[in-house]
Amino acid sequence: MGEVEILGKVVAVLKPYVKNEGALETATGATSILNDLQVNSARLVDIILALEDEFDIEIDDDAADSVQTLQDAVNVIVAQKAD
Amino acid sequence: MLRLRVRVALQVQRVLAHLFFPIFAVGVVIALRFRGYRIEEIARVRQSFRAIARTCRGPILLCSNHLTVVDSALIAWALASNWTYLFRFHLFAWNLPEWKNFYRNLGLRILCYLGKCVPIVRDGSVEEKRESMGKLEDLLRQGDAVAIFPEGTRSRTGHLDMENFGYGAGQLWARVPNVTVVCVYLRGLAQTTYSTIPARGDKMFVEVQRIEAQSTHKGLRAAREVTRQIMDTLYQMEQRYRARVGADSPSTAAADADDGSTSNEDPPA
Repeated sequence: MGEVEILGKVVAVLKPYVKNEGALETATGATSILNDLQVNSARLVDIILALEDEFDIEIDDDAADSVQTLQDAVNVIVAQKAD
Repeated sequence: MLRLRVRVALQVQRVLAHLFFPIFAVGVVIALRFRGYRIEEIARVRQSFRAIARTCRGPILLCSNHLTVVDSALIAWALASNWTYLFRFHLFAWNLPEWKNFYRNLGLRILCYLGKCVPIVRDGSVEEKRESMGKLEDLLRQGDAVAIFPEGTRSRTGHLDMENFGYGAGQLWARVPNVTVVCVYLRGLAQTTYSTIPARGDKMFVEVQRIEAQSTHKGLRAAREVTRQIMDTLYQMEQRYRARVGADSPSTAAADADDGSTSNEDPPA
């Protein structure tokens, strides 16, 4: 699975949690999940768990903490898939 | 892993807080009494907490609802006497005030320091959040009680926020073995919504309940599941509060209460 496809799936996973839906439509790898998409920080854990389910991977706490942007999420998923 | 310097700083804080506790505690209780606050059935509440403290095998994680900035002080007052805390200082819980609310002047900083507070930055960096969690985990592992508000901030609706709570309480449960989770529901009988402090003369409804938190998962999934169990318990307690207030006539519930219950002096955190 390529990074573009992963990014598309990440965007789909994020959709229910996003307050700024306009930003999601034009999202790129550099888009900040908290600041640009205005996701409630309390929901970041739900997003990480949803990503685990979607990609059938396990994301450890340290990797989860590193997810700030969409590209961060893609990088974590790619790294976990490679393991 | 918590840095040695941070761990030593917490130990020093604990020792100093214990040394100054008699002055600190008397001052706080006098201030609360001066406002006319009372704890409903305080003997029963303290008996419940004593029974829990006597039988638990590990540290206590207090989880409560949050409506005023003095909730932590009121909870400490309600759960045990100053004598109990003096001789079983580990039961006097560490608290987590938001840095920008409580650390804006030297007086408040000293008060928080001696009141066993670990300031947190709500929108802080990953490193800051990790260090705050590390401190709490370390304190629990050393047997100290820690108090946490799962909602993260005072509920803007006056009801438990069942949608926007964080999973910090569950994360601590998942990381520290044998943690005893104790839910505390505290609310003034005249408290209609959130406020800076409760109305003058308000009587506090307090309920304490130990929960047997459990999860078949690990890590973040366990944290989410356990935090939901905590919130569900607090929700049931809130229903009992409503039944209690409903049993009173409105005039009794709000008796001798001034308008402080709805003063929203603090900016939303």
